[in-house]
Amino acid sequence: MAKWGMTIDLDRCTACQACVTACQAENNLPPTGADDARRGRNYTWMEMIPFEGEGERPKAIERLLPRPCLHCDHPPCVKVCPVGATFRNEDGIVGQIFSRCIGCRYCTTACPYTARYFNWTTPSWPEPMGKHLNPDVSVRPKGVVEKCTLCHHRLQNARDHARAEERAMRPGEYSPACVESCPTGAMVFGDLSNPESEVSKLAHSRRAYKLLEDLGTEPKVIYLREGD
Amino acid sequence: MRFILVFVVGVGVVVGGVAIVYAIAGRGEAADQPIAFNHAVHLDSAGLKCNTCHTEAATQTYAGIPGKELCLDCHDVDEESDDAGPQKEKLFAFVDADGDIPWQRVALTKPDVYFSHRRHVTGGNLDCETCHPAQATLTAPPPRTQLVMTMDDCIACHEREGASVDCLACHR
Repeated sequence: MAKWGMTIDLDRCTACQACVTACQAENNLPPTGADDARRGRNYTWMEMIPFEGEGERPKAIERLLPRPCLHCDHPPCVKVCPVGATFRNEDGIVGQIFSRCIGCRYCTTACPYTARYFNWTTPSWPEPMGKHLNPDVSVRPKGVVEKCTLCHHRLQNARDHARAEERAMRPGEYSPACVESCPTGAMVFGDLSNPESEVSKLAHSRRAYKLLEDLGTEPKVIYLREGD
Repeated sequence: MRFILVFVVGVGVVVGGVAIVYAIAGRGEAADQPIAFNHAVHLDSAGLKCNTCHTEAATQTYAGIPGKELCLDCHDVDEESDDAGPQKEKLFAFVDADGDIPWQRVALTKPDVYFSHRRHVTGGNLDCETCHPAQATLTAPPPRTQLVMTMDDCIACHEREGASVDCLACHR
């Protein structure tokens, strides 16, 4: 069984946020307004986390870290869910079943990467955006927690194509929307269990590091540090 | 004695009420079709297959509901007008009018369930009758929408056939 993961090269990332936009369009994420943003209620499954790079305030260089759900091998969010709405599936993807979620938000608290979002309002889109939703992805109702699914529907579609043509899935046939949209090739996606794959080689390179590695969550989104 | 009688009647009323509420809640919504389409006649007498009209069952998520052009492949407005029954008259009226026939979907899944016909027909090699066992014998459209499968049905088949029972496979 493949172990899907990605590397994000912070040297190549220009913080253009194409991945954020692609994710929103692919996964039916509604645009949230200024009011929600002020209250901290806006959500994007792929979020740009600001952090300070070199230098000291006020001249410190602001950097942005693209952060999807890291799909941990030991996900803290799964352990705290009282209703089994979130789980790590056979592909290693941390899934969320929206119709089972009771909105208790234990998981949003447990996730050290703040990759989970609570739906405070009923999703709505300005016309005509509402007519262009992705039919492969549900529109989540108000009152549930939602998160990145690593575009799991794309994995299923890729498997369907392969099965219809009676062949095995090819490398690169399944790729999340964020990776596909990255104009600089900063994000590389693939099978981490295959030592020959590009993503596996990058994940084992000198520049590779995991966010909050000491927590032991074993994230499958691995960053490549700048500079070296 | 009287207390027991009141208790038994009370329990009966509550249980009956719950059963009625469940029966009403479990009913689908009324589906008033524009034409009383007869599946049995088309499949038995005319010898059509399901995918003659539901053309996308093997290749798309939705099996597809035929447009009026497909009906006209077999039905000729001029030749059949003499002996046309009321349903054919309705069809020909739709043919003359603008727009398509406003068929209503009756075979539904729950809103949080994603079902792909392609995945089951092409990938799983299933016949239509596996999930729609009575459809071919219907002489009139079902009056209400209906849930084709429950989760128990789906899981039972997936386990039997060795298909994925990952929650994400169906819920998204």
